[in-house]
Amino acid sequence: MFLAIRSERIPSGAWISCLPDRHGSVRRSASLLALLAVAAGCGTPEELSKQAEEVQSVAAEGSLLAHAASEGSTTGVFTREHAKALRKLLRKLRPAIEDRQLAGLADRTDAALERLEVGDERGPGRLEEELSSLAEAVGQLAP
Amino acid sequence: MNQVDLALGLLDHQLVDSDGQECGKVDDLELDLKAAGGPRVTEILVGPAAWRGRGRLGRLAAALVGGQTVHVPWAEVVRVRAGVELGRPASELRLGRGDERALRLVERIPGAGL
Amino acid sequence: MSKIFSVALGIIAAIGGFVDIGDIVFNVAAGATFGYQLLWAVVLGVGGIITYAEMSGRVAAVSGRAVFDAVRERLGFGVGLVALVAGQLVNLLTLAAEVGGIALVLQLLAGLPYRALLVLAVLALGLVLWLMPFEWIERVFGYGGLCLLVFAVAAIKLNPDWGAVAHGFLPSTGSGDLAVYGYYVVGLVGAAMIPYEVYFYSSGAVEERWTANDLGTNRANVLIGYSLGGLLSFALMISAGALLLPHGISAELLGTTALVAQAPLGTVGLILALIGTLFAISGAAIDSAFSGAYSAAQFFGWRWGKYRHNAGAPRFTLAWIAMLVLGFSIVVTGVDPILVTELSVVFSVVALPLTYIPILLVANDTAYMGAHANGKLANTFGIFYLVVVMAIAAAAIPLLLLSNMGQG
Repeated sequence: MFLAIRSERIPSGAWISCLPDRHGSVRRSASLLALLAVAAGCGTPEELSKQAEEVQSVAAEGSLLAHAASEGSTTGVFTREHAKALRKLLRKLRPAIEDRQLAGLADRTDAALERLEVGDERGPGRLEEELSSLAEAVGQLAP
Repeated sequence: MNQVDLALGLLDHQLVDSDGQECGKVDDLELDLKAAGGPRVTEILVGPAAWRGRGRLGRLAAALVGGQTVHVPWAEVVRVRAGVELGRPASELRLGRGDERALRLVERIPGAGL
Repeated sequence: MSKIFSVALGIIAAIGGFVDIGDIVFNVAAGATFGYQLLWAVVLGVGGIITYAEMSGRVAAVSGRAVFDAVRERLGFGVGLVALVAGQLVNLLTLAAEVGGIALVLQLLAGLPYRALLVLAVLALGLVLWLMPFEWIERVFGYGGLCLLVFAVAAIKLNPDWGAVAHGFLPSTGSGDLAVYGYYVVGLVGAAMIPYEVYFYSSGAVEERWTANDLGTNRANVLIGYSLGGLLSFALMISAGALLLPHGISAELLGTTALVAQAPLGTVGLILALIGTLFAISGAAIDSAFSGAYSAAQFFGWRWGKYRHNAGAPRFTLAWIAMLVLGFSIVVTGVDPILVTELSVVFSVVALPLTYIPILLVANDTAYMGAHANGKLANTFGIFYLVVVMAIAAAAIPLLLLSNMGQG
C-alpha cells in the first residue's frame, strides 16, 4: 500500500527513473556482447596489405630506435626494452603471414631487432640502415 | 506537507548525526496515512533492506546486498536543511554501523590515524 | 594575492593532471594515422569537459553536494544506481589501464619484469595514498606531469607544416578509412571527457567547502586548466603526426610515444617524456581510485573525504583500497594495457550520457541551484554537448567493431 501511494502520487519521479534506466540496461548488454566479439576476433589482420603495413611500421620504428642508439641519444635500457616490445608485436603477427616474401622480411626484421636488443657491438648504425631498407622493401611489396 | 513535497524533499537525502558525521541515506519512509491533519512521516528507514520499497532495481539491490533496516523515529530529526540532521550521535541510533565495522579493519593497518 | 597564487597553483596542477593514458594513446595514434586532421576533435573534447566540469563544480559549490549525492537526491534510487554501476565499471577499467601503463613506463625506464612492476606500482600507489597528505599528492603528480610539455618543444622542433596544423582545427571527415576516423573522433572526445575527472573535481569542490563565492574560481579553473591541458594533447598529436606519419609508424606501444620526444630532443627528451608520462598516469590512477570511492560513498551515504585521514572515513578508505586491488587483478592477467586503455575509453563513452544527463538536469534545477541554475550560455553548451555525447555513445561500439579497433 505504501508503494502504491508513492508511485501514484509522484508520476514525475517515476517517469524520470523509467527512461534512462531502460537505456542503461540495453547499453550495458550491448557493451558486453561487443566486448566478447572484440576479444574473440580482434588484433591480427589477415590481408597482405595490412600485414605489410604492420611489418613496415615495426621496421621503420626499429630503424629510428637504432638511429637513436647509434647517436648515443637514448638509454641502454630503453633501447633494449623497446626493441623487445617491437619484437613481441612482430611475433604476434608472424604466424598469420602466409606470403613468403613478407615472412622472410619479417624474420630479418626480427633478427635485426634482436641484435639491437642485446646490444650488438657491430654498431646500431648498421642496424639502422638494415632496418630502414627492410622497411622500404616491405613498402614495395604491398601496393 | 503533501506527499509529493515529502518524497522529493526527504527521500534519498543524506543523514547527518549530531557530530556532523554522515550516517547513511534516507532509503525509505514510513508514513502514517490515517493521522489527523493528513499523512505524516513516522519513521525514516535506513539500510539495504529498506530498498525493497524502491522499485524493481531496489528489490534486486536489497536481495544482493542483504542487511537490515534501521528504523529512525521521526522525532529524532532536528532539522532538514542540506541533509536530514539528527539530534544524537549515529551510534546511539544504530546508524553508521558499516563505518564502525570497517573501522575495525582499517585500524589494524599501521598509520591509519595519520 | 595569495588567493590568486593558490588558484594559479591549482591550475598548474590541473594542466599536468589533465593527460592520462587514454589521452596519450589516442592522441599519439591519431597523429600517427591521420596527421593533424583530428585536432578539432580534441577541441571538441576539451569544450565538453569544460562544460561538464563547470556545471558539476557549480552544483557542488551552490548545493554543497557532489555528483552522486545530487544524482541520487534529484533523480532517485533507481537512476542513481544504474549511473553508479556504469560509472564504477568505467572507473575500474580506467584504473586498470593506468596501473598497466605505469608498469609499462617503469619497464622502459628500468627494465624489470612487467608483473613485478605491476605489484610495485600498486604498492607504491597504496603507500602514497595511505601516507601522503593530499595537498602534496595533487602537487607532486600535477607538477610531475608538466614534464609532458617536452612534447610541445618536440612538436616545434620537428618543424611540422603549420598550415596543415591550422587546417586540422577545422572539422572534416578526413582522408582515409571513415570508420577508423570516426573511431578516433570517439576516442579523442571520450578520452578528454572521462568521467572520473568530473567525479573527482566535484568531490574536491565539496571538500574545499566551496560556496557561491567560489564560482569565479570554478570557472577560472576549468577554463584555464583544461584549455592549457588541451594544449598538451595538441602537442602529442602534432609531434606524433610530424614524426610517425611520414615514417609509416603506427603507434601501438607506449615506447613509441617516448620516441616521438626522443627523436628531436635526444636523451633529455626521452627521459622527460617517460617521467612526465609516469607522473601523469600515476596521478590519473590515484584520481580514478578515489573517484570510485567517492561515488560509492556519496551514493550510499557513508563518511567520505580525502582530508579525513583513513580512519576518519573507514568505508571510503576500504573502497579505494578495493579499487586498487581490483584494478591490479585485471591487469595482472597479462592483458595488454593498451587494449584495456582503448576499451576503457570506449566504454566510458557509452556510459557518458548516464553520467552527464543527471548533471545537466541538476544544474538546471532551480530548487537546488537558486539563482545559479544554468543560464542561456551554460544550457546552450550543455544541450550541444548532450547531443554530442549521445551521438558518440551510440556510435562508439559500432565504430569499434567496424574499424577493428582503429586498425582498419
